[in-house]
Amino acid sequence: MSQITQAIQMVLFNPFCLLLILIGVVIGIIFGSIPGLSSTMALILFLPMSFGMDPMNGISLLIGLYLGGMSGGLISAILLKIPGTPSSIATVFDGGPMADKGEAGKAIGVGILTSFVGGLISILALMFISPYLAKVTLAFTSAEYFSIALFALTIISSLSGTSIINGILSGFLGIALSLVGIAPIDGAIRFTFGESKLYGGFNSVVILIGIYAVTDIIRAGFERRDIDKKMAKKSYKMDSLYGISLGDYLKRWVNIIRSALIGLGIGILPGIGGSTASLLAYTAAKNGSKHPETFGTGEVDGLIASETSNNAVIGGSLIPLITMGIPGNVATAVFLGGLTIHGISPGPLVFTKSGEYIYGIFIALIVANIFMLVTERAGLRTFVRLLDIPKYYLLPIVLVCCVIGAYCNKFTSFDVHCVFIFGVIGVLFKFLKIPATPLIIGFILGSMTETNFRQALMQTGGSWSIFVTRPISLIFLLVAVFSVAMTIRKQIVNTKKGKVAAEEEES
Amino acid sequence: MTDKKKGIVTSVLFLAFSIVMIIFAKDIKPMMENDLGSGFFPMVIGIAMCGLSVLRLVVALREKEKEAKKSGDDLMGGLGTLILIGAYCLAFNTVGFIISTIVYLFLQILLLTPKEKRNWLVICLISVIAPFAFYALFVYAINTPLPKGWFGF
Repeated sequence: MSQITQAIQMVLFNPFCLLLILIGVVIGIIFGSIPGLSSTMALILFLPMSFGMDPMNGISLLIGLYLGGMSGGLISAILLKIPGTPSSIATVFDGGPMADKGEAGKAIGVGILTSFVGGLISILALMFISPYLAKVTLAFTSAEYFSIALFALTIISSLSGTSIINGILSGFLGIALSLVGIAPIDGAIRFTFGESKLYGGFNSVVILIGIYAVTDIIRAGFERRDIDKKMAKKSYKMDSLYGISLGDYLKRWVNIIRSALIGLGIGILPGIGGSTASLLAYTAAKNGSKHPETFGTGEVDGLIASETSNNAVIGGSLIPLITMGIPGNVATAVFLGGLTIHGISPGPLVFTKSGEYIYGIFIALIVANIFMLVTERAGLRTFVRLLDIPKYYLLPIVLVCCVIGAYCNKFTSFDVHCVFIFGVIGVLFKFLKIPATPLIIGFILGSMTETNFRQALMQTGGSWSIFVTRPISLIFLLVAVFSVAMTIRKQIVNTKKGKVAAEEEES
Repeated sequence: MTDKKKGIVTSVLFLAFSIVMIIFAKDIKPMMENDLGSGFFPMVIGIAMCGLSVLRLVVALREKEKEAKKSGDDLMGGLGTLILIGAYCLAFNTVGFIISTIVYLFLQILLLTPKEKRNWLVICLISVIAPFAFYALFVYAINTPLPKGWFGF
């Protein structure tokens, strides 16, 4: 008990610590909302600063940055249709159309609220059941990872719009791009054509910026005669504090809980990340919905699925970190660095050795989550005003941000050039009516699929039965098959409908 | 271009890409015991892509040719933006952040703004203030270097 009291004193009764969390959250939101900058980058930049502080103050600053950065991505995803971070890709699917319909305020409001709820559920899971959940990770081997990746890939078929073949081709191209560079497991060099800069492969942020932002700006050039019409002012009025009534929000509890659990689960598993979590939650919400056809046209449930799950990753990713000392992603690895510098070594004994700091982390997480809810809501009016800036001023400035973001990844001009190349590919895709989102999804999941597929087969000496004999893997594979079957069925029904309509027109 | 022609172009591009992929994947041999090798996965993706491209070609060839809608695209605006962004990305590191960004922003805003709405003062102010503000923010506030280029800034 004394440890908890000590933790409360260090965080809640320490105005400086609260101020640091607030600063962290605000800076994190800014980093998250600018395409190309991420919470990981914010953590890396502020890590040295945290060394000189009191342990609890330093850690609290990092927590604010991590949480703010994860949630900030929704702002640019909704307003500019450019995901601020890879984890907010799925937010674009429905957040973007909502903004087009003049519901930008509501979309951001719901996004903030549901980010808070997702974050809170995962933090509570971290606080109360983390030792039990940590054991879950042990049940997941390469076979399960492969099946999860395969299931996540099935979302491509439902995101392909009218031409499912074009969508799948785009997804395959994404997977092909993820294969460039030094291969996993045996380190073979693939598809680099002698160019050493390609050894590390392409960067997902670079592809994301190219395909979304650069393509958008070039298209704006092609449509510059209508640039004025497109920015006709719309009302952003919201009928309640967060754009959705509590009753309406809670009505969607199944989606909220399911998405939070997906985020939590993916967060616990090392090496997957927020982008997969939000894609999985989105697919699950679409498959489980009574009106899946509204997804992609501004469906609140789609937005809720994406934002709840990517924030639930936060608590989830801290579970293996605190209980076993295993960082699941780059952000938590940096966080681990911050902890060890202050003499806190996460692991099974951490509660007895430095319990006051761990309870302090829990409290700081909740405080940061509340600060995120309040500051983002306070800034909502300002964010939405972004849309009032004429596009011919806004888009070029956004492009400069994107180029800086790409450059700051590795500080090489190669990434900047790649941004342009992917922008051109995006324009070509738009012209040929090939959806570009599957390309990004294929890229993100490509290497995870290959690595785990090969590892699983190495474990069994080449026997493919491992994927169907392990229950968790089998479940994911079955769900994947079900998901594809549903999409194909829908596609056939739509084609028949289209044919009947065409025949009626002819007669 | 009609949808049919777009379909044919799509399938040919992907088919060419997949054939190149298969040719290169063929030469990647397994290096470890029990491992499928780094060539297996690219080969699977290559073959799948190849098959799907052929299917796309068949679908496209069976499509009825409909008259293409006249494209309302402004070629000057689009290609101009494409060239400006390309030049900016190339100049970013060599010429330096501040100068390349000033030039890019000025020309890009000029290109996108409808003639009757051009306000030279605003365009000049944005193209000069924005690069310096970004530079100050990144280099001094968050300690992230941006390319200095030819003139040392």
